[in-house]
Amino acid sequence: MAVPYTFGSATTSIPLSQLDSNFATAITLGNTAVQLGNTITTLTGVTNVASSGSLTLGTSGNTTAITVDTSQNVGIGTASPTSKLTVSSGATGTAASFSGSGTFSEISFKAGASTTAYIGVNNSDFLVETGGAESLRLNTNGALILKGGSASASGVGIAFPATQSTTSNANTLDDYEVGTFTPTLIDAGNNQPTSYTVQRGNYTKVGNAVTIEIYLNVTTLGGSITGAVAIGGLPFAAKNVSDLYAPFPVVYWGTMNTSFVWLGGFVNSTATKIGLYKATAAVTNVSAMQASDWKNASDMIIGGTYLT
Amino acid sequence: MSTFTETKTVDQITVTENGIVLYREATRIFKDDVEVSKTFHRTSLTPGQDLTGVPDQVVAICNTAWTQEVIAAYQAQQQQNQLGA
Repeated sequence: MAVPYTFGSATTSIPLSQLDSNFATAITLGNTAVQLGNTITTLTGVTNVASSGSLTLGTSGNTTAITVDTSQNVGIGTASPTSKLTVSSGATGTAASFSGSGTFSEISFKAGASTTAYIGVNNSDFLVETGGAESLRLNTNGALILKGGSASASGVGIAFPATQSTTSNANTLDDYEVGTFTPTLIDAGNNQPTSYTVQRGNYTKVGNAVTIEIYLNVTTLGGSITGAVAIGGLPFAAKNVSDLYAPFPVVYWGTMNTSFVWLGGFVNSTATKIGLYKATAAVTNVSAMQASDWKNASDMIIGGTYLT
Repeated sequence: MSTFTETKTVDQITVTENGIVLYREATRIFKDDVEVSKTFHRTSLTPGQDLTGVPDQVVAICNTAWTQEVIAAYQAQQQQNQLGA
């Protein structure tokens, strides 16, 4: 049996019995060295080359760069690939680099008929895209931005959407927001004092829990506010649950028109106000605080947490 | 030299099932058109409340949402929710 080969336009053959002796060392075609060992059985479009072993490609010094094993797993930087593509940088360094010339560079993933997901970069931000839309971004400031959050969020932290995406899952944190509001002293008809010295309200909302701090200082009470009073203007409406009252202790009161042994309040279902209650002595039932318990220059500090 | 600008907008308006209108004002500071700061101020308005000083777009929603029936139902609900009532 003979192996045909072609040099230029001449075709000849070498007896198989002489293959080792003729091809045991590399032959040179132009400036390209080619070595044919005795494990090669077919060389037709580089198919079935490794019928009995792995295919390896290397560089000078016989260093293996790419390995295709008998399971058709491809290894780059490793001779033992464990998946269709295994890339190793060795002890140090970058294992793989992906880049593009535009503002986006991505790698796509797809399982069956599912929507393709991507990871990649937008300029210097790292992105994750699922369901056909961006779902997560880590920007250069170090902010982790959830879907709908501001891409330019500053500071290191988690940026939630500006508008809450409410979850029904009890183990999912779906909102964070801080801000201010303007508390008011109101009666049942929403009448207020004539003027205030201070109306300070801060809130922090984490999930469905709103924590508020209030300092209210009345300058002039005036005559329009009468009867039972409350602190209105809360930043969110309370959760709609009957017979649920969020407690609000009054930790300070001053210059009141009445002497108290206790003051406090609560927020009830769906409300945006704190109903105020009082005790002027040891009693079995507290009673609603009245506008007449206040006067010019009265002030109060109250705070607590309620659910939305 | 960098240019700083400040904007204040009502960026969220919510009407609850009992007619309370909640709105949020966002104050944003931009440095060379890039947002560098954002703060929120929230306000709640109960049905029938005086709307002096309230932004026009919020007033329009209040006037639509606060029918006489809504105002009456809200006031009745507040009476019902009073402890000891």
